[in-house]
Amino acid sequence: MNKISKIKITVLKGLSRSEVFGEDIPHIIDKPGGSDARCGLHTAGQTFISIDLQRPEGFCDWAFTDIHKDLVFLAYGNKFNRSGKIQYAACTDGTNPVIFKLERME
Amino acid sequence: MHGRYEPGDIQARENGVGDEMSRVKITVVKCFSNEEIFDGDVPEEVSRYGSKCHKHHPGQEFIMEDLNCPAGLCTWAYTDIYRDLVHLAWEGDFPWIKVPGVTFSSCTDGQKPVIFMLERMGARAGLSLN
Repeated sequence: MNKISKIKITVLKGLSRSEVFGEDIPHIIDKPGGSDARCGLHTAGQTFISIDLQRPEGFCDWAFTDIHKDLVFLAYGNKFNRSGKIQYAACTDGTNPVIFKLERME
Repeated sequence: MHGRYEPGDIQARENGVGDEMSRVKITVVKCFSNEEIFDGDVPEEVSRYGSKCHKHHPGQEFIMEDLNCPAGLCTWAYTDIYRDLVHLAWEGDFPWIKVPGVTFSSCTDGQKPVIFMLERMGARAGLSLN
């Protein structure tokens, strides 16, 4: 069986509502904070290590579900792009998406 | 099609009409570029794949019927937003959106994500993209 590599997850960026919608932010969004509000859980620069494909402590459950297929693909040694060990994935929160950098650790 | 009803129509629900799936309208809200995501400092390994999604642009609309991927909608994105689509189609709502039957979802392409607005047909969105 193939080795399962550890994956380092770095929070690259949390997008704000104004970045997603511009000035015309839908008034139907019922979340705390104004146009500059970003994900309440993750901030740029946070790092996590996923071991044996498990969700790291403190990492968003929803986001982990969203990026799981990319994480598995990388952990089994597959390549997404030229670098061979890096993939950028986003969570599916359309109001405040968060971009993650996934990196295979040898 | 038959048996569709306005969300929140209790009478229709009691008549059993709600046993059918609703259609869901998918509207492209925003396509992020590499430059926006990486603040201009685009890593060499991602730049060759194009700055923005080549499949979608803001304002495009699709209708999902019977949970099938609409023609022309990116199948990767469809997979990413499928959970939300099913939730809406089977009369689920999202508590962080004030209007029943609406949500915003995005694909998981971290280099150039695309944001979608999902509306159960009949629900009011209150968002003008114009």
